[in-house]
Amino acid sequence: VDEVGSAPVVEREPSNRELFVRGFLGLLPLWIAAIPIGIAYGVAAQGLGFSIAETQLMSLIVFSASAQLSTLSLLAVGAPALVIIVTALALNSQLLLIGLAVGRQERPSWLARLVTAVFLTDAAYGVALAGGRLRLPVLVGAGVSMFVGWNAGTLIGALAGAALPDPRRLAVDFVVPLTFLSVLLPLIRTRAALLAALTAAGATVAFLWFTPSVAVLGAGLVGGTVGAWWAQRGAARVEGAS
Amino acid sequence: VTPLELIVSLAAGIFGLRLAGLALAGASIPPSLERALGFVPVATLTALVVSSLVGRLDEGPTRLLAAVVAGIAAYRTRRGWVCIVVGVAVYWLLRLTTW
Repeated sequence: VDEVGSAPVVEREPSNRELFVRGFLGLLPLWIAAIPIGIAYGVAAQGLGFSIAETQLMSLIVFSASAQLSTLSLLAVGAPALVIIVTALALNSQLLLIGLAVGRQERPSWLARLVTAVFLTDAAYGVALAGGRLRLPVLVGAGVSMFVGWNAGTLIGALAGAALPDPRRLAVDFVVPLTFLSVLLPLIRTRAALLAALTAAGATVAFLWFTPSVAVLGAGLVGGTVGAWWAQRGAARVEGAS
Repeated sequence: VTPLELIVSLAAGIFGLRLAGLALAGASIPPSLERALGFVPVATLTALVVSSLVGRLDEGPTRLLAAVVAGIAAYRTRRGWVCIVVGVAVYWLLRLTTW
């Protein structure tokens, strides 16, 4: 918790380097989640026939657990590349919102924007916000920390997956939906989010019936719209009451 | 499309998304759109879970049952890794006992 107000001494502004280290260390506890998910991704990618180099490259340049795992699960059902890409973008639409929020609080230089964009993740944003005022070096430090943890997990998983005799027969692909479930559950905190999830679940079954390749994307958009509609209703009611 | 082409296209798309918000720096988008974007990830994650479970009913309800137990365990303990460990354990328990 923040200690603002408890110390009357005027603090000197910490250097960028100190802020970066603060962010890096602040994210370390989240490695407990990132490394196992990285391992799960690495193993599952081997099961789908990715090489170790491809598996690792994806973690290095895509750097998004949800995008990478959704790609694996859509490749497994033979979805076309365009559907895979659009689904990954829809899954990461919060990155656009986080970028906008960061841009509102700071007016970074173009170089700073590029560097921040490379390492921008939800978890890093959470760590950066926990320190009170959002500071860019904390955000980048936390992002780099996540990058290291995620890629270390991926490497362990890729090597383990390559060593397994027959990953497909061992059903390692089952870790993918389990991982999504573990990420999904903490996100369902409000009624609107629950409604979005339930609608998406129903819509998925319906879409699978007639157009399976866009089922995930279609259900994601339908569920997202319904959740937003519900949240808007609630917001309108609160405004009316006050 | 080769895996490499797919990986590079994905990387470009996701980087674009990460940069877009920062590049617009302070520009406002309609609140209704912003609200909708906020719920798309929850809905899409749910759709991925459901489609990968429904798509594998060839194994019977094994995966579905294992996922339900894993979900309850993770919800109770509030630990993400519990979901994966319990899910895999229940899955193998079911598979080894039913065959």
